[in-house]
Amino acid sequence: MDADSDVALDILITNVVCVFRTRCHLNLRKIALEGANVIYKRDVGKVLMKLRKPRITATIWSSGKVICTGATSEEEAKFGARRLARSLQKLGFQVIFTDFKVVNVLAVCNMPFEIRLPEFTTNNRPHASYEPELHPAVCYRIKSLRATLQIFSTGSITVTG
Amino acid sequence: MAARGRCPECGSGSLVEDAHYAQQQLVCAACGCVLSEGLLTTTYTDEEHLREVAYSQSTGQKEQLSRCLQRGIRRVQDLCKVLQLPAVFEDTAVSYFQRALQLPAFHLVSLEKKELLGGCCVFVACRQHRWPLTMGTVCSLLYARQELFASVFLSLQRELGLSVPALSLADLVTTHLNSFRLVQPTASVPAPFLEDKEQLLARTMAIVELASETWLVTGRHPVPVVTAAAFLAWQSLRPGPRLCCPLARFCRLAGVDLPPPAHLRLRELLEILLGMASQLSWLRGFRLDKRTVVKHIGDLLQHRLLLLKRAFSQQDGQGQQDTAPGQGSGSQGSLDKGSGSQGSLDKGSGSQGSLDRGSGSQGSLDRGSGSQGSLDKGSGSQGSLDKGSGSQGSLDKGSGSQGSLDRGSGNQGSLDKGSGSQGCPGQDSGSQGSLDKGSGSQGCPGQGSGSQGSLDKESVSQGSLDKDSVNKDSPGQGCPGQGSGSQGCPGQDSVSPGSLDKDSPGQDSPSQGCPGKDSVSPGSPDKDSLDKGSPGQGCPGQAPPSSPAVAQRQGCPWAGKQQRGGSLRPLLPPCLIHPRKRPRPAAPSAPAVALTGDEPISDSEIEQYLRSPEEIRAFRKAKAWP
Repeated sequence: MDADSDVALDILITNVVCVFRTRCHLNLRKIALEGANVIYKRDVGKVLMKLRKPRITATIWSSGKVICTGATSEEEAKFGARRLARSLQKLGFQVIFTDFKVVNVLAVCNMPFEIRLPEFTTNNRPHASYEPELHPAVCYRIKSLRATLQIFSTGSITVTG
Repeated sequence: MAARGRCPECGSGSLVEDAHYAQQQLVCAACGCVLSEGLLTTTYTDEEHLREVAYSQSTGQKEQLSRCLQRGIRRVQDLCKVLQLPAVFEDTAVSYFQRALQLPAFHLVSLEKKELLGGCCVFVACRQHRWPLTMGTVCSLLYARQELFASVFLSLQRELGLSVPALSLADLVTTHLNSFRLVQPTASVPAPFLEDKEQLLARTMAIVELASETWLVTGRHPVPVVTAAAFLAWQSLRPGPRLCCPLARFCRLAGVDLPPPAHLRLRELLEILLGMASQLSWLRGFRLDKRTVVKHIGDLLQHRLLLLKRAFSQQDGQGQQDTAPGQGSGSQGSLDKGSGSQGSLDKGSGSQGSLDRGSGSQGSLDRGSGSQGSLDKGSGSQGSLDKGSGSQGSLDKGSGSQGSLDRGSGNQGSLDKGSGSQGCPGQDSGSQGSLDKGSGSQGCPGQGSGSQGSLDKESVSQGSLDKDSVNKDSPGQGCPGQGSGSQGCPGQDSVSPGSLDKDSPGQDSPSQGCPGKDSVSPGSPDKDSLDKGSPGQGCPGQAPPSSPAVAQRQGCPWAGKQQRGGSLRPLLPPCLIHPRKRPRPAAPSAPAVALTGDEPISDSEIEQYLRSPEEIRAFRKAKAWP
């Protein structure tokens, strides 16, 4: 199979999850009242705020910890996080943008061939785990990279970690 | 040891210390006279030296099992008894349970989870001894939720580092069928529905093997597949009275649950069987649909290896053995599902059967309209299939009209998907759209000979061929993917060589309905390559948009060589053949402006995320917030 030109594998990052701290207590009620595009989940004690420009959803806790999801690259995640911190600043909180860390990156890739999952599992015993009754894909863990791949029989592979 | 002294009775010197029931005695070895004896009982004060260690620590048995552990072990043992497992399984499961419960991951969890842990241990023991126990069974016995069971099972596997071999399908079939109550006559099961267990088992096993060879089992839950296979086997063993019995009723009679995916598996199995049936020489004359094919399952299973190879070509050029210049003799593969008239089936002329999957009418072209018209071969009527729009001059060109070639579904004209007919492009009697060869494989099996014309501009092409027409189609399809291979556009692009984009997963589109469309491939790179390769790759992405221009070129060289129609589709997992998701937008090669993440943020951008003071006031009033 000519592996060079036309079969260039495209791996597409679909989600980047990051966290940062604001180092100050946040009044969720005030954010819910004065912020736009927010959802206040009182029972769990968090506020969801959605940004448009980098399409990001942020979960804000009153302790000052913020989790941002939905970015398509690490830089975009950082940009979105900073934007969010800035909006919180505008709301009146003494926000300091610290401890920014990318926690998880999810990417998707497509193989141009199908994969026989049972044989694949038997050949990759300790790393691969396949339970058709639970999930249609093989779960392949790479400990050294702390990554998990979900390999489907159609050749589609989802990488997380 | 002999003590010193003499026996008072006999005077012998052999005195022995002996313990008679824990009581020390000095006894004469000669006459047996007891000289002295030790204390039988001791007082509390005498035992002082024995009280240095507390009782609980001094006893040898340290393992006083905790109550939780005892209860858990009893649960495991009960479970094994209910399932009637051999004793070995019980021991294995109990040992796993004890090991697991000592780990911190399982020691401090809820009681519910500890119960599930017992069930998981039994499940693992069964799997390791190749006993086909399904998770559903264990969950129902424990009244547990499947997600919780799954999480406990996965963490158990991780913590103990167990290697759990996969569920063996053959054993599962045997076990599952044993629970079917179709052997003895009962009040609810009429006589014609009873079946001999051995025969049923053998046939079900064959069908399940067929399913696993055709990508119907990989990644799916095994039980619905077995249920669907058992149903087909049961029906085929005595089709007469049983064909009218639906799957739900069958499960009720047999006394088993009907899992929801079983209907889908049944449909997929029937698709495969119909595909195979199209290759069986003595069945070619018949129009088979999903009911009638059941009668012939026995034959199909007997020759399944050969039929699979023939019906699901994975290399291009398969089936090139058609000698008939026109369209191979006999329709290949016109497999019409649903649509019924293959039109293409005209065997007389050797119409290549187009396999219509999903879309029905081969001609596929006619969506809605149904008649391929083109399929007539013989006179060369152009039946043009029209899908929606007028008829494409079906390709029948005179005798040779491949016309109908709808191979697979594409039927030449078929290329029109949605939009007008491409007019069966196959004008050339000879070259049938060699173009379609490629595409054929994509999904439309039928490409081969008739080149769906679309590609053939040279041929008269009723005009459908024209790029224009083709082009029109493409917009019609609105498939964004022309270039890349229409994912999502069912077959628009598929124009045969489709193989163009192997990568695009959506190539199935060709298979979907009309594969033959020549999508205007905006810049499809290599049509040529497409054509050649296409059918065979078996890559899902066959639908490369071949630019019409290319198609034209292709049309010619192929003259005379008809690809054997029959190829229904490449052997792919069904989700690739019928993709449901919207096509994923292609990854942007690089963002227009590379973000660094540290760009300055202006105030104006932030304003949109804050409410204005008037809004806040109004909100407060409305909600009466403090």
